[in-house]
Amino acid sequence: MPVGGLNDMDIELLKKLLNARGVSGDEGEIRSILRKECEARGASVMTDALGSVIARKEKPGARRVALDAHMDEVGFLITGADADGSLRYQPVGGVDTRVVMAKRALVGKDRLPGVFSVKAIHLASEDEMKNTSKHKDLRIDIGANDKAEAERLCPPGCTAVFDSPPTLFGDGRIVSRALDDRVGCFSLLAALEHDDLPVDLTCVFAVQEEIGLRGARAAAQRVQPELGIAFEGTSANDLGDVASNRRVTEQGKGVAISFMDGASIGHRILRKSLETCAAEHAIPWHAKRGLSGGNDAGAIQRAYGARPTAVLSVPCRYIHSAQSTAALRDIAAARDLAAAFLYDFPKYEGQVFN
Amino acid sequence: MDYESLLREWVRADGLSGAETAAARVIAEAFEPYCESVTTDALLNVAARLKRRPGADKGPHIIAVAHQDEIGLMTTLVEKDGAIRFTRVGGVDPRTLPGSRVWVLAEGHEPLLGVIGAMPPHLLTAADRKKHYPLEDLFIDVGLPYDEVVSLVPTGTLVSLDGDPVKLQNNKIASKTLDDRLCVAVTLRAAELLSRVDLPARVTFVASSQEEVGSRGAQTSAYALDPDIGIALDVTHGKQGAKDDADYLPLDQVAVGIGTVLHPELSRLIIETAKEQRVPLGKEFVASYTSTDADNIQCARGGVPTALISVPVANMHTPVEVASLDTAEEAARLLAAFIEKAARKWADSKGADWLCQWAD
Repeated sequence: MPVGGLNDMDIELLKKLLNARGVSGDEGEIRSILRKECEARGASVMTDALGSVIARKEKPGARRVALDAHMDEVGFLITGADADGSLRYQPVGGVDTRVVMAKRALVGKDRLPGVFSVKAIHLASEDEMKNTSKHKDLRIDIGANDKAEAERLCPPGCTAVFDSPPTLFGDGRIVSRALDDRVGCFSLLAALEHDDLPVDLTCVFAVQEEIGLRGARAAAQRVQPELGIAFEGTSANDLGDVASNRRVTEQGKGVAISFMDGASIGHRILRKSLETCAAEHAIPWHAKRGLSGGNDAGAIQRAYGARPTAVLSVPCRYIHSAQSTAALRDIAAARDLAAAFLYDFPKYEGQVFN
Repeated sequence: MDYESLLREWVRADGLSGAETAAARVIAEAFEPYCESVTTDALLNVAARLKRRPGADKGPHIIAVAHQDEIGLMTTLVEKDGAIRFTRVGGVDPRTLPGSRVWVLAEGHEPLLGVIGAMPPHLLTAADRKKHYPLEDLFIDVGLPYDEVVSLVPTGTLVSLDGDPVKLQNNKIASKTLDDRLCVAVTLRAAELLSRVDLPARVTFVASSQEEVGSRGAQTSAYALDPDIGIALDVTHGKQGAKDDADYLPLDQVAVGIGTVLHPELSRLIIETAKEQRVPLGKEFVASYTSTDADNIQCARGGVPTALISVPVANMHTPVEVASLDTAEEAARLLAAFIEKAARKWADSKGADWLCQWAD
């Protein structure tokens, strides 16, 4: 099995996933892309009542293993317009107001360009320069002249994302919105390419992770896997003279394996097995040291009785901003560890299930 | 003239204050067809002299000045992990930087795409989470290891903001550097309009340098060109979505500056011209100095009667400055008509007397 970087087709697929809109609750665009990609890989595909995509490569008699990644992303829900035509919004998921100031947005299904307005530095008061604003006081400007025009073009209830086309930079890195968690979706699609895995594989592309792991909770009860692994884009915080004890993961140093986070404590033997597998296949990995945040593993672990779970993450800097970044070699490492572990699963399943 | 495609080209031409070479080149090229000479001086000011018609030399010398330089950043230090610290060139708003793309203008190398990072909120104290990041806590991440960053990005490397033009509704545009390339575009369009007129005046269009650090290029240009009348064109604060009710100007109106620095007779003539030309005109009252090139043109040589025409821009000094291209075209029409009117008035009164007859 090749262990290495991403080829051109991989990068093309990754960019396609990143370009798709999919704010929590409005995942239609990314969902239809994922469905097609799963079908193209020969999986049997269904969409559940919440909108999660469940793709299975059935193998009767083998262990039912679920891989999870969430398709949704943080973004904005348009709630109405002011008399002057500027749009009010609420954040969907955790978006810090400091990363929206003077950024660009794409509003609604038609991706109308808009910008987050800022009172110019010349006019801002000392207080406004020092203290952060609240989302309720910020506006998106699409150039509409009045309320009626704004609400006709961007009906309240539609969603917006940052405008941030995926772009390669540095020594093999990518900058884009929504790396959290399209990098996870990428690993799952790669796993579905294999037809000879010794497991009964179900890939769950969950919705609504960003507002409380909701899609995964419902999907886990439907899929009922014997074991689950969540694939995430997680924060790195490894740059800018950050003290080593405050670094969460290290970008460029492979896939991060979690022992614990805000939503779950990983299954110890499963985690050790993943570490052993990574070492055996010379796949770069390191431990996620920060404990904050939570992800779908928490839902899978407990949604319908206790299940062993683990979390594999791609270190992302500036997560939940318009410009999150990841190293391609880390994305490749997460993908490669998924495939390696599934192929080697018979070697580890005895330990994990005892 | 297609403002959008012109700005797409111009905004990509880097022109941080003091390093306007690329911007000066594309701007000078654009003026060539209408001019008898286009020169660039030691401070990188571009002076474009409109082709003279017969009789032009008997009229006044009028300069129309819009600045070509832009705000940006400059690197100061590379941390051991490759993070680049920086300072500002001009009034970049630090609040707008986290989560932005920038271009590190490494010399002898393609510009490096960078992202501005900061400590993530969940690792800040509760008190710090409510504050904007101070400039010194931010850094640029170019996705390269320390050794490469240090060799490519020596201290003092310039960094430009990222922000190509994008079209909004109602022929509005969002882009970086509309301050003040939009007004340079307005002067170019006025040159085009005036090239068809038998104008009894010499006209020089100036794309000035270093306005953002104190209107320095306009100072030397006005001295060198020794004009009879000066007109500065700059952006002003336009109505924006941010919750506020300050004295903003609507985006759909050109504005005339009225205030201490500006010659009342010229301001009055602009208002008269706007009425004749049916250009909707707002009034921008400026009690003190204007913080535009008008301030330095006014005091050049023995004093130059100076006017200010403004185009309202929302979100000034951000990569998403918003302006109306319809208003830009109105500003160009107004500028061309005003230059013609002032020139004819000069001819009628046989000199500058009408500008020196103070009612007191």
